[in-house]
Amino acid sequence: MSKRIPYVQSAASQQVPPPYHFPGVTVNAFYLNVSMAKVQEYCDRYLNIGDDATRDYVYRPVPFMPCATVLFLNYPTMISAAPASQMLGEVAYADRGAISQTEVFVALPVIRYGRGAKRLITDTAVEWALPFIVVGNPMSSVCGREMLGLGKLLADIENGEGRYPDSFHGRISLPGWPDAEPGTMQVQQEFMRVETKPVLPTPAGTQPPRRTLASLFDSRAASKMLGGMASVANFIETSSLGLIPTTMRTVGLKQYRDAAHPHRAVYQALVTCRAQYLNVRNVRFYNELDVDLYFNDTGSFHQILKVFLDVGEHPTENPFSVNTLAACRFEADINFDTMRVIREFPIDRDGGLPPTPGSSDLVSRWYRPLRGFFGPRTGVGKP
Amino acid sequence: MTLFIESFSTDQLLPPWQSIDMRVWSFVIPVAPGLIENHLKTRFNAAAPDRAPFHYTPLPDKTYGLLCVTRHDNFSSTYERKVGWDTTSHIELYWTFPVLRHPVGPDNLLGKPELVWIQPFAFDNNSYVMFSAREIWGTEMEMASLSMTEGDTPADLRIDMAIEGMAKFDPRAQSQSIGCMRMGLKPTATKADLNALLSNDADLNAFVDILIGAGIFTGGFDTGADGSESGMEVNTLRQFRDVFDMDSAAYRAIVSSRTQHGNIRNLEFFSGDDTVLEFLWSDSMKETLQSMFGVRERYPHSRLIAKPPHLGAPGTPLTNWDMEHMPVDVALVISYTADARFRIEKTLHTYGQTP
Repeated sequence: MSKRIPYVQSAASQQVPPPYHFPGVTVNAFYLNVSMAKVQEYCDRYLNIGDDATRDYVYRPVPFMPCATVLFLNYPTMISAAPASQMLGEVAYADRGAISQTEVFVALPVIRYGRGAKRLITDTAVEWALPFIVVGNPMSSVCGREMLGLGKLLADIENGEGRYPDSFHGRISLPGWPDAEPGTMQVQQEFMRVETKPVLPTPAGTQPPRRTLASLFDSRAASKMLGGMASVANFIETSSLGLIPTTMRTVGLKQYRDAAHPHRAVYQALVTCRAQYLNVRNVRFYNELDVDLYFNDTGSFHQILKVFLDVGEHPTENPFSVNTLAACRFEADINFDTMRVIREFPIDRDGGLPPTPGSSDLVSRWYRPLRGFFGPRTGVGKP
Repeated sequence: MTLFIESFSTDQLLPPWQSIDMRVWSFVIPVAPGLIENHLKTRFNAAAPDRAPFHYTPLPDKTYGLLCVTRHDNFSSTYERKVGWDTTSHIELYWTFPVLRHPVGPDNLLGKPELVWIQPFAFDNNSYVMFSAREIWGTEMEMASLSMTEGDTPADLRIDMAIEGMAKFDPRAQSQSIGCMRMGLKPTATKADLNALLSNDADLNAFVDILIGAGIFTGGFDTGADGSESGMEVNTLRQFRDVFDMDSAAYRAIVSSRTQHGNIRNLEFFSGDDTVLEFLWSDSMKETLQSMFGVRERYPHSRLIAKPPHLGAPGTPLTNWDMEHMPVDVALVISYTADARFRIEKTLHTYGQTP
């Protein structure tokens, strides 16, 4: 952007500005195998935008993490810490109160490689793509979609204890169409469901716990390691074998359609945000062999599943069951901040006008302090 | 041409749209020109940073607006590149008023004005419609629980709306479902004769002439010999926040769209005196209500006899209706059933792109 375009703030805008603080979040995490080809397909479609020959970065799957993470999050309190707008009479968001919500997303780890010897060192970073994300709060869905480039859909989300004490039950219902026939009415349908037995150790369950990944922590050495490190948030990532990242930097494609020609874009950019997990506590594992997780492969939901699961070309109209590699539950305080446009793509214009200028801020986390925090985005191709 | 990269999350009901057998209740409400002026000043007439080649002004005489509640039972996209997964039902509420759009010439003089409609706020109970409205043509639509029931007599009409918000802003407040608006007709309400209602009110007569000219309740999808079309041209400010600088927009433009009604039936008019229209006063709605309807008297109780409904699906929290009620005077009520077409005409101006 070469010129600053003012945004008109109003109560109806619903675009609540960050940073956000979410204390006391309960997270239920499920880890699934995912095909590297699917992740690469996703990267090529939504992240590796533009001409391959001239693009100065490329997104690829993380070879040592061939899994997707399904996270069910329950936010009892969501606070916007944004200062009051300069508009007269505006009440600061932090003084208005808090909202609560449930959220479910699928996260895929991806690596952004800078191209060329210098960029490979300075621009390479691990990020998380979110091919599927739903929330229960409409304001959250609007913020995510319009500001952050996260394709948040509004859903009915059940998120709580299952049949057994200390177990988990999650269920998502979404608007969808049972079939693709013209005129078929949209209905609210169950999209996915997950049920677990109680957290370990538990006598319930059909599989012996000693066969699970979580049983690693039954060993004396592992328990000692967990006990020693769990109080230090920064070591949680290590002590949970990387299953609980303390910082997730998400990447999403923020784009807007041309109003009169919806197949054309008027704005396209890659946006990253930092979700920082602080004060991680009460980490408990489920027996992953007793997790029942399935997606409904019906009607328009098939389009969603195709993005991250190997579901075939056409809907089976049956539940698509998925094996979990591991499953756990923990509590944390989450900060959501440090939003950046890392790549704004040039947009073609009509009327003989040249394309809009793009910009680039593809700097890895370690190199950014050396370049200066929050530096201006530079033109495409410029250092 | 830069292509939009399609995904299931952005695939919602692309325009143009059509609605079959939509049921409309329109409440004609007087609106102060100063409030319109304020809205136009920040949204359409501002330098952002460049000025659009238009200047918007309120109508010169007393102005009315329409608070419309529409139930769409068969609402679908007619976007030619997509077939199927395109039909839904929903209820919407929006506030709209007419203004004049003057072209601004290179000499900075205003040209011959055209009448266009502005929609400062809208609510809907379908998230797919909300996403389309907000993201494609820029209506600042909010999600709401909306119920609209009609019975054997006009007095059976009840329209209630609730939103997620705060009754009172407070650092310790928690958002909840709060009542937002209630509408109904009084037990004595009967159908009225339009000519009788307009006979003593030249301003209201002129406003109804605008509606008739646009075919709002007279209908018509035809194009005139001179290429003119029936319907309302709606102008919206389409803007999205920049993710880095929250006071800046990543994109800001003025979009023009057209709504046409046809196959009008069950047309009925009611006197504003037979109507109860109340907004519930919450901190979440305060700014919107003040900016559009000004400061009005508020009362602790509703003028409607029927109790507010418990909106929402089973298991959802009950709605808080315990707030002050702000009645709004209604000049005329129009109800009808119709088919409708909606399309986006063009982006009139994109800010920040002039050399």
